[in-house]
Amino acid sequence: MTDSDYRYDAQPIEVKGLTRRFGKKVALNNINLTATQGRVLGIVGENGAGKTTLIKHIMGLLKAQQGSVKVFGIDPVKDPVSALSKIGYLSEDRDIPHWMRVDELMNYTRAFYPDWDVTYAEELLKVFRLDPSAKIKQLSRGQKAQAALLTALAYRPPLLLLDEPSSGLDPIVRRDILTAIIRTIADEGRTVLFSSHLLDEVERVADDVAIIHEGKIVINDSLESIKAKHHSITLRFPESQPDKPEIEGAISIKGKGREWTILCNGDMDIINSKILNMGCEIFHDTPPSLEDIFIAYAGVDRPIPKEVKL
Amino acid sequence: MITIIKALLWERWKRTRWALISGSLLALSGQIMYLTGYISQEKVVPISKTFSYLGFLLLTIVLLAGHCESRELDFSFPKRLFRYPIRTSTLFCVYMGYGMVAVAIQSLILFGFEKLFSDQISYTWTQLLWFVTVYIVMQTLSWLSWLLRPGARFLCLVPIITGIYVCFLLFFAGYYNLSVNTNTLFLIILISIVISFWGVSVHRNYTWSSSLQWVDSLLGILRRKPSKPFTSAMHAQIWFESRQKGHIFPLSTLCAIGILLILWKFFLEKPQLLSQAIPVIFIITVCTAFVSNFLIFGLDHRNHVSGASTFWMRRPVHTQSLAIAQLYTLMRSLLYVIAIIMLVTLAIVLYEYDYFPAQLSYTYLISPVKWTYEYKSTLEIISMTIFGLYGFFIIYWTMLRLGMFLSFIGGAAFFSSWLLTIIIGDVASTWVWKVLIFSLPLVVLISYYVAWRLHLITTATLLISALVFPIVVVSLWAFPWWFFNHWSGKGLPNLSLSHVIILISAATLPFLPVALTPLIMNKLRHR
Repeated sequence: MTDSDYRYDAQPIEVKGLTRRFGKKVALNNINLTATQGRVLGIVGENGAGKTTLIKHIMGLLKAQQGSVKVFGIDPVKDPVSALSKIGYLSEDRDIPHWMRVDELMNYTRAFYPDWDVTYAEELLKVFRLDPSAKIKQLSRGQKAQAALLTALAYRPPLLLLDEPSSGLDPIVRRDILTAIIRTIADEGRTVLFSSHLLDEVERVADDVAIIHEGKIVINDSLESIKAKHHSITLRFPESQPDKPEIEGAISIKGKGREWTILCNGDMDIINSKILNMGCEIFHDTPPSLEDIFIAYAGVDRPIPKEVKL
Repeated sequence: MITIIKALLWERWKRTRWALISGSLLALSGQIMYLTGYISQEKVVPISKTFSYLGFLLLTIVLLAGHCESRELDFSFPKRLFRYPIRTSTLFCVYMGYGMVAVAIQSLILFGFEKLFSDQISYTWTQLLWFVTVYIVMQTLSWLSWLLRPGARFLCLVPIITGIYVCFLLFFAGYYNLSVNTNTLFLIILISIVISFWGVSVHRNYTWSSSLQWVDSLLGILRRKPSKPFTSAMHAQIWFESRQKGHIFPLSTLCAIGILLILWKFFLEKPQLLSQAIPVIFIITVCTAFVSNFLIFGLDHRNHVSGASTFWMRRPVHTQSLAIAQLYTLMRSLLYVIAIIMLVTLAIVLYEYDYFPAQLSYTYLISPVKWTYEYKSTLEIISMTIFGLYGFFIIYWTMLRLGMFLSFIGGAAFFSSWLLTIIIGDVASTWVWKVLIFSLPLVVLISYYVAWRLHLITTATLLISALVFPIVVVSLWAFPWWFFNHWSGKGLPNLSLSHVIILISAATLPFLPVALTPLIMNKLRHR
């Protein structure tokens, strides 16, 4: 497929039944994911959940063992040139050669992208306060991230993949600059996929959210819809419960004695009727944060150390 | 405490192992060549000279180990363990240990246990210990230099280092009554150490830079101009490859030849240079290629670990273009090496010429040509000389490019053959070799076909390779012809069928990277 086969009507990212194994470990298990044009998709997951592996498949750096990956309708492995020319990528490792200077990095990257916007690149250079003559190895981790981000943004790619973009950035850059950039890109009708551990940031920036847990996508929906479908309810039982109560539809249950807090997913009326049938009352009902939802899905089977010595 | 030391030793070994292996191989190959030189002359190896040589090589290894892999401390083993006192003392022990073990093993192999503590040896041990000690002292100061501000660091450390060096030199020269010329060696060490301090001072976070990076940094200062936009993506990629790896091989060759020539200056008489230095310089470049490959592999490995290997993979260019950029850089790098060799050879010839011009001309130029003219036609001589020289370059080129690969394959084949000889007998062993040699053209053909099917090489490349192949076969045959006729005055024996097959098999070798490089890169790019 050549660049002329680029389908403007195709979804920016279309992943179907993607499975990847590294030896015995299943890194990605039957992943289905779609990114819609002009929206920001946040990928959330604990360490080793498969976020970076998924992004590498979208980049074509990993070949799908099962399933398919399409970027604007293009297979990034079969036609890397067409696919990569539409992607701006910021890697988690900020893997730029240390011997390069900032201006050399810009000129090197510019050679591969005819749409490189010199004025925009200069603007970003000023915003990030980067010295063009500085060597990459002399930059701090945050500055390296900014240099890498600059080269990913300056050719205004229709799809931006950011793997842990906030890592190493100071709060000002993270909150004011990164957020502004991501939102501007989406408002211009381009698409952003970013992975992050910072759930408040995802909540602030993302339109859609996908939560990956142990290689599987457990939630993939718009942020609004996710928050509307999930409920955090505190229940009060007439008598103390020695064990965790069995509540249908509950994703996580915490508490002891008479009071238990559950996080559940589904129609609130149905949940209410089930709870009332159990003979307990709803003491508190609050909308959960994305962090609560994420912890409920990802942290449910993780043992918590009883004592942590500092 | 033991656990911490073990952890630090482990970390040290992991970080320096490639440099050590490379350095050891360099030392070993140099040593073998050095000893072979004496053995061929049927002379007894003077122990003191051997040990001086070993000492110098050891120092080279220590310098290599110290600087090639000792950077980016922040990315290594848990930082909290790197408290300076523990780290420094551990590194002392490790360096000292490396030195002692290396020398002890070599001494035991070469001289046996009883001779190890003779007077002659103890002199060299002392000499060696001094080398190591001075190095360690200077290295410690370089580590501690981060306590000072850059300007103060320079002002304090340069006189201190120079002072230590001068004291060391005076003591050494006075004690052993050394001639003034020997100081050249120490001057080189001094310069490298001063550069090392400079290298430390220019880096933030107190990280070290490799020896090659020093030179790169020095050159960087000279060429610190604003970078200009590239005219094309290929131009940018070639620039990237050249800056990433292109300088390693020529610089390694220069260093190796430099060391070799210095050694020769002390150990050989002037007229011996031409007959002994030139062939060995050609051999040493192959060894350097081997070491450089290790270093390049080390860099790639480190890049891979830190994730930097994906940098070139995600450029929107065909894998074919990436492979062309890499091969182009490699070819340019090898051309630099060949140019260096030619210049050095010319310099040696000119250096010797003023002593024995007539004799040299007669022995090496007039006599063989005169002899050949009596028996061969002019056309035959000219054409076979051209083809022969071309054949020589192909052999040399292939050895430089594929030295490491061939060594591994050859080693594996030799080992399997040896194993099969024990288990089954000579017949099986012979068959292993035959299968390996005969299957090589098949491997090359398959690689070309697969690469062509995957659009990693063009049809034009395929056709050009097919056209050039017969020329390479003729050249490889012409080289021994030319060599035998010109230099030994004897004709080349007729080729048997098996020789022809071996010749054809060998001729496929230079073509291997053309198809294999894009295939490997494609595999790396889409794992």
